[in-house]
Amino acid sequence: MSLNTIIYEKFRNAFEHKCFSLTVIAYKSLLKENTIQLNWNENDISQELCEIIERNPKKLKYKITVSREHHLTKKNAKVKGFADKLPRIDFKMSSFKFRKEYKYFFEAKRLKENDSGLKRSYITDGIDRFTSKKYPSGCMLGYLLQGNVCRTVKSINLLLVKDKRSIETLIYKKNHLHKDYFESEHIVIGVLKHLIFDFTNLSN
Amino acid sequence: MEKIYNFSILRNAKKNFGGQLFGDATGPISIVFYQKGQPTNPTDTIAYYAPKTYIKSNIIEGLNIDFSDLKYLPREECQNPDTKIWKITMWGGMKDWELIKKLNKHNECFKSYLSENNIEYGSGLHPKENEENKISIIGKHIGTSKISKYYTPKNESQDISKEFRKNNKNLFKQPLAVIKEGITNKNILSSYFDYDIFYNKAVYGFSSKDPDKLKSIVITFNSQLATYFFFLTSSSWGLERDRIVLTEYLNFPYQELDLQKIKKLKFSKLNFDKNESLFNKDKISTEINKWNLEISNKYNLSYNDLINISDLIQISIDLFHRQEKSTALFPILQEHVDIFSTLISNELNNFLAGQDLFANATIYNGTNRFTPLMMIKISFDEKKKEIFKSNEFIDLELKKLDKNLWEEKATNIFFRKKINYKSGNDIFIIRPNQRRFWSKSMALEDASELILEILNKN
Repeated sequence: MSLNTIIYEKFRNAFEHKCFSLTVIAYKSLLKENTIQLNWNENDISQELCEIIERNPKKLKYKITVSREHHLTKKNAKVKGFADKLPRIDFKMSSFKFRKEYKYFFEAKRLKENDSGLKRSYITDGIDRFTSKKYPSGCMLGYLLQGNVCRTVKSINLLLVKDKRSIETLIYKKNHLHKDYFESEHIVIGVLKHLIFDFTNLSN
Repeated sequence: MEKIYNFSILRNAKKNFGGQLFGDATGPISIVFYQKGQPTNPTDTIAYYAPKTYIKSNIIEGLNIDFSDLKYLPREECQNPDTKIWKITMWGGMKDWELIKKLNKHNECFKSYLSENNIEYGSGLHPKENEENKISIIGKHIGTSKISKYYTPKNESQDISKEFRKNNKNLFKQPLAVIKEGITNKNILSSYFDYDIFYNKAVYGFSSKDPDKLKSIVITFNSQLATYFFFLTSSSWGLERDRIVLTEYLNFPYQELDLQKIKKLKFSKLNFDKNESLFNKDKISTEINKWNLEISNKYNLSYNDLINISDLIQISIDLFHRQEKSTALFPILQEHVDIFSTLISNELNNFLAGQDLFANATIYNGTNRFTPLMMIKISFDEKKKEIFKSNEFIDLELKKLDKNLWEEKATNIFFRKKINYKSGNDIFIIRPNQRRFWSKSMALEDASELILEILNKN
């Protein structure tokens, strides 16, 4: 026997909300600290985010741990160099007790309004890894390093339309934790959530 | 290493309480089963079984391993040769391991405090071994068993005139704080002396010109926090001899209490209730409660930390010392179920905050003290409700269920499963009818586990 589906959903939403809350607080601290350089790659920014999350006492209250560069294991044959080829997600948050663990994954991508390569990568190396189920459940993080959030998201949507995936475009949704919040609908996985972190106003 | 079974808890157990496992041996033994080669999928954790009870009933007779006796320890920490994780999790859990780590990290050790504050310390009088290394003692002497918690009246001492091994005479000049090596009435015992006194080797003395610093030591080492810390970390208490040695005392994470508040205290006039009961807080003197609170604030202990400390003292330490007579094994009372239900539903509701879903508890009045199991129900609803008291008669069902909870792992070794039965909007939480399974700390533990089960759709 099991619980009604709505109960499982509410619990997962509650966990996701805590993960978002920790991540958004870390993003706001990064803006205040002004340590991010606009030429950094996504791993550098993710590392800074994780370090701030690690220091947040709320993490203990929520009983959540954070870890970077999580390798997702696969059942493929193990031949020389297999570990380097394993899919790797930017960071995960998890809660564990005994041998039970629940994981929530974040895939981060850099974005620039004027860089179509980065926007394309946001789709193929980001969204598609969730929709193809290469990555388990989680959300997308966009680190905007140049331009404007709305125009950049609009460009990503144009690329999706061009790919005949107009139903999968990112749609702005109101979220009380973060203003630049979007959702996209996908046939296989349902809703994918996107948090865009705007670093363009940093003084450096 | 995959699994470790620690049966040393039964070392001093009575023959009908698991004692026959070791015969007359007092030191712990270990049995290692091993295989050639590494396991194909080594886990990050090691399963650690530390059973505490033996049972003889109409259903089973043998060693009883409960779900609360099984811990999963991080392999990396287990490989540290200086780790205290084995002792801590033998009686406590990972939450206690975290708390001990936090205490050690945020406080200086007692030894450093003593040296920074020029407090002399050492053990009491040792018997004379030869004529070259001796000291002549004339004065008041207190027998170790006569030392009282907090303050020992002078009329308990006796005159002495005898030779002992050479010692630092300052350790016997007032003002003095002493801490007994042996455990007394399930606790560490520390006493303050405002008169010169000689004492024996199983007592450690601390001497300073500042009486308030010594009173701070006495209050801290008599506290629940100190009892909690040493029961979990001492290499001897709970394993071989029930004592704490000086080097262990010196490693205590120490914080000096507010000396301005202590200055006003005249220990000889204070009423530290000697017959304090750890099971009924009302019986603990208000003075002790006041200082326990002061210590919790000083050490920045959270509400959950205090629950863990209190439960370890009331349940685990009591179970160790009083064995089959421990109240930890007593049937639960209505108030225990009420508190457990409130705590577990609060924890679930805190997790679900903002989701418009609430966990509401139902408790069952129709059970008696002889029912082997107890049950509560958690129902999820869009509205938050008070605890519902059901008159439904569930005794017979629980009795039937009990028979199916025991699993024989090996000859005379039984594992008792627990049940979180989920159906629709309800979770039925079924546990043995013993107080140790319905404590506040168990409610917090069960809530965390339930949350993970639900997140993983288990």
